[in-house]
Amino acid sequence: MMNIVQACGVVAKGRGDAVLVSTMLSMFIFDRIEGADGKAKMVPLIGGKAGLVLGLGIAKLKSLLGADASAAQVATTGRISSVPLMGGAAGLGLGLALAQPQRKVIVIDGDSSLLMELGGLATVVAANVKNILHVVIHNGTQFTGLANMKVATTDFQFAEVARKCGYVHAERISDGAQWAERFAALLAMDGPVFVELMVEPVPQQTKAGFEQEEMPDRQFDRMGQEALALQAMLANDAA
Amino acid sequence: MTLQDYSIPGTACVAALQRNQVDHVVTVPDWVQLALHSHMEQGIAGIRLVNCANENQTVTVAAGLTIGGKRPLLMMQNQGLYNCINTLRAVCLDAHIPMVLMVGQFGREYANLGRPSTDSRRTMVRMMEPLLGAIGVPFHCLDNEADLVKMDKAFEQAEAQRTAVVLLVSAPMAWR
Repeated sequence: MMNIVQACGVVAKGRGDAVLVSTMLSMFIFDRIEGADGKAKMVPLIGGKAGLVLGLGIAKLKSLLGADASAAQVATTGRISSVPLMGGAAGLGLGLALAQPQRKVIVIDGDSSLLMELGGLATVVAANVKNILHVVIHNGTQFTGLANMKVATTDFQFAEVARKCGYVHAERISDGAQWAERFAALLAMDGPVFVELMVEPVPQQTKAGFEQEEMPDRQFDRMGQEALALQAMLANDAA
Repeated sequence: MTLQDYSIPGTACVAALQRNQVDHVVTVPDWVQLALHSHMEQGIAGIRLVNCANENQTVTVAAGLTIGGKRPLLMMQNQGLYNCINTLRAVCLDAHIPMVLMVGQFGREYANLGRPSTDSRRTMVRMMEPLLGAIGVPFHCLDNEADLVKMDKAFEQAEAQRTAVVLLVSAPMAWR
């Protein structure tokens, strides 16, 4: 299995001008590895726990060296996060793909999120969009990296289900190097394309005495801010 | 008053959609709006029909379309709106992405037409207006063909206030 930095880092480094739709975990990872300058180049993509720690550590260092160390200053150009809204990523991506058929749309879904809106796979296929790459992070956990609660089912065959729903291409990838090698070709394919990434859960933080931090306002404002910025960017590009 | 007095013709709805420059209708079909669905399925120039597996997806797909520069309208029935409250909360109330929804008052007894829907003996009808009021989503009632002008107002209101605006369709649409 790959770690989450490898899973998201490949996308961050290779997405070009594709629009990126994230769920909660991948949003936090993209915030870290793209940092304040929106570039993921410096972040190493190395497997295992050591690779995860190193990747996130360098990403954090990079964000601290940015123009503003505030977490709120991360660049989100061309991104929108379905947060807080589990299950919304595929629909957002589909709407964007329909509206912008000349532009690639990458959806980074979560396994718990996708299970909440599994019918969305059929909706994507029915819309007959060619420009969507739908990726699910399959790590079998919810609140990953915090409490690592188990997902309703941990051995669900997402790629198989997507294929049966009618995605043009669907595959499961477990190896980080293989994902890095395959990404450009998968993005270039006429879709809809589906990729199930087998990802190690981020280690749990909670234990006796752990105190949960208050959710910051940004968690509730950011989808709206990102929507406005993305709308302006797409309108500007079209003009 | 008969049912016909409350039934809005599907063709009049199509004209209202075109007048408002709607380019996508995103939907889970509604019993009350079957006549309009029928027109949509036959194809209307300039309006693409997007069928979704459930109403949460209609909201997120419409949001993506709006961000991408399109002008969608959502169609669903009251049960569907109850189903997608959290998605409406996230997309329209927190993220302030504007959209207009036509929501059929499925189950409304004909004896209740012309009277307040809050007097309906059917829960799904009776709760709708108070619910929309409670969550702060503006709504307008389409009780007859003349009310279709409220669709124009709904689009203006949705964009000005950056919110969802619901058009409640009272009676089954007329098949003409």
